[in-house]
Amino acid sequence: MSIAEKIIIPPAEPDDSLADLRGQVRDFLHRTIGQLPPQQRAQSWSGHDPEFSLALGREGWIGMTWPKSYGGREQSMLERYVVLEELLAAGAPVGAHWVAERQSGPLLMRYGHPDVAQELVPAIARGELRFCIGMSEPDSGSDLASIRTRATRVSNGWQINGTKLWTSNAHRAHYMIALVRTSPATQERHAGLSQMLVDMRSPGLQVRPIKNITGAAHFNEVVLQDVFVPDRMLVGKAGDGWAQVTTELAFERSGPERYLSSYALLTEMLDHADADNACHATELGTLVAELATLRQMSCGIAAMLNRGENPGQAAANVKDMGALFEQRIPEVAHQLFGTELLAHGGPFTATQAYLTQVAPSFSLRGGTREILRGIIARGLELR
Amino acid sequence: MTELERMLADSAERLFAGTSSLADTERMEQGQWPAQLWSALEQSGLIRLFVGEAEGGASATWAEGLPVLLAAARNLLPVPFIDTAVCAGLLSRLGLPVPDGPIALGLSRGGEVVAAGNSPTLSGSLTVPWGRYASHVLVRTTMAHDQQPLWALVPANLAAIDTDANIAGEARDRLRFDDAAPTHWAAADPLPSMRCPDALGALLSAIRIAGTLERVLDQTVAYAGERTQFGRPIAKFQAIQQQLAVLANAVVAARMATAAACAALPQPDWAWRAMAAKVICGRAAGQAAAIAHQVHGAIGFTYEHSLHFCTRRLWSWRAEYGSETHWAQQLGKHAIVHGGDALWNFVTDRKSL
Repeated sequence: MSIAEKIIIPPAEPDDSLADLRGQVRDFLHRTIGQLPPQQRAQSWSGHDPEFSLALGREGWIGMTWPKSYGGREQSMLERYVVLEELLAAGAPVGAHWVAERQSGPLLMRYGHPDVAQELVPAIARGELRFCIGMSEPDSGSDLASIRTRATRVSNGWQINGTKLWTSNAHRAHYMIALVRTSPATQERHAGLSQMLVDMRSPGLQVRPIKNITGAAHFNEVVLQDVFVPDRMLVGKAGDGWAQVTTELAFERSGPERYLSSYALLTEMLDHADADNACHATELGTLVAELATLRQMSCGIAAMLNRGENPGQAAANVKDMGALFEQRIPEVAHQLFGTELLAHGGPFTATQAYLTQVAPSFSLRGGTREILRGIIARGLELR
Repeated sequence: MTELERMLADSAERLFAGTSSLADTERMEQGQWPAQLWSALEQSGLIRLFVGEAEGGASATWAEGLPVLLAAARNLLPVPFIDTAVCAGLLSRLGLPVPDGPIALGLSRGGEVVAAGNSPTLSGSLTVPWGRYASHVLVRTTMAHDQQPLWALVPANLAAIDTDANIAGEARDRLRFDDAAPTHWAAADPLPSMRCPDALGALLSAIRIAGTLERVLDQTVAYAGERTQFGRPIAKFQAIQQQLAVLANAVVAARMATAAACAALPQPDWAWRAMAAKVICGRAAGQAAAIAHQVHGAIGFTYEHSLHFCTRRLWSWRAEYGSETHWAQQLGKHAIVHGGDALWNFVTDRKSL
């Protein structure tokens, strides 16, 4: 089989049975956030609205694929995909349950202590619990295996010392899933890492918000000083952290959040553009073609996951292209309209101003562009 | 992938790899028709993959047959295999007989042909890929008096031919008809929504590009693994790896855009998906050609090395049947007229994934 054949994504088969669900989600969104201005829709999975998350939980749209015993609905990954893409296209404020639903819930069900999972996962499905993920550190970004936060064995549990950085929503989270070192680094760099569930109210844990370039504070520094974690809050096996993190990242491959971050600005541009202006039509038409293709690729990957297949490196391709697309939208807005980004410029300007500033993060979060392309290169058997 | 799709893809790869060679492609560029190759392809029957079973075809859907068309492009077949296979499929859907020999597709591109009369005859001129080698041309035109669609199968020898060629040496001839009588015709369209017939040509160009991009990726990855500089294969350098990752992106996107448009062919939304496919593939063609040449270095710039067979085609095809700018403008105009609120439904309108 050629390299090219290996990375091809088969298109998802059309499935008319999803139309009803899509309609229900659209009705719900129209009722709940129909009036949300575009500059707020642009925040999407950074948008924080606990009431909205609770309402979504009541509809049964959090943890849809999970077993009923964990508060899920045992629906397909394609049904979940439809709900997710409708939420994100509408710019719904999903930030209060996003990490918990996408990563923490599946991780706890798979690796967590059964009692802990049974207690927390149904609360996630109800939209009540907020999680953050403690991976990066002051000296560990892309090179995650170099983390220095340590957990040492104490009676009935572990004691954590260290600092986590860029931890999104730590200031609002109930729990953190922290990646820590439980035995000293050896030649095998990925050995000796473990995942721990940390109660954010633990004594010795301090959260310090960090303002981003827009002046808002979504991410934080989390200092852990002799923080005690009971045995049952160790997630999975001590020393298996790296393998578990890799699996965890597989839960979030190439979803609609990887290309819809600037969608609110694209629709604003369509509303402000002149159909007879060749520049407007050409640039926006290109973005529409890219949008449609990214969606088809993302759906294709969802369908592969739903069939239990491994999308392999193609998921990294979609993520890379998705970030390029999201970052290009504010650039196109500038080229076509050249609006000065003034504070009182109205909704379109506010949307463009916000996305222009946050766009650099699109190719940093969840793995930098360079790391991602390294993964693609591995898929091409170059390394 | 359906069983038929897999079976067709496998036999296409075997057939093309076994019968065609770059020597044929090179001779074709000098104007020598590879008659042996053509008769091998015709005898295999694979060329009738889109024709109904009753007429001796495989009755494949457009989506099921796509891998065969991509393989034809990937193998740089120097004959109108894709054109003939698609024309045969269109004829079959129109209920018209499929003639032997190469069939060229005559869309409105670069000219105009009109039909008139109760037994319609065709007059006018248009650019037809492979025109001089075709035994028949399937022309899509409109009736002069009421603008109704007409598909007419015309013997190519009824046309006067001004020859021309693209930079890959592929025949792109101007055919002039003067009251030419088709052997068969149908006053209907074989696909839903033919308001913009060139969109079909755009889709065929996109398919050619997507298939050839796969060859470019395979060839460039292989070369990076073989070529050693500074004591190691250049594939080990991050600067090269990052470029090949971008090339892989282009291949994945081109294939998906093409596949989505083919899957949509039974529905009216096929036309805009075909336009989108040409936008994506046209951009991918330029990007991929640039990266492939950069990675190959000077050797890839020689005639002796085979990379140019791909890149000259990519540069030709991205402009044929409308460039990415042309189609992006059509798509953009439509999207602007309908406004931001309509966009999401436009993208998801198949009521499903």
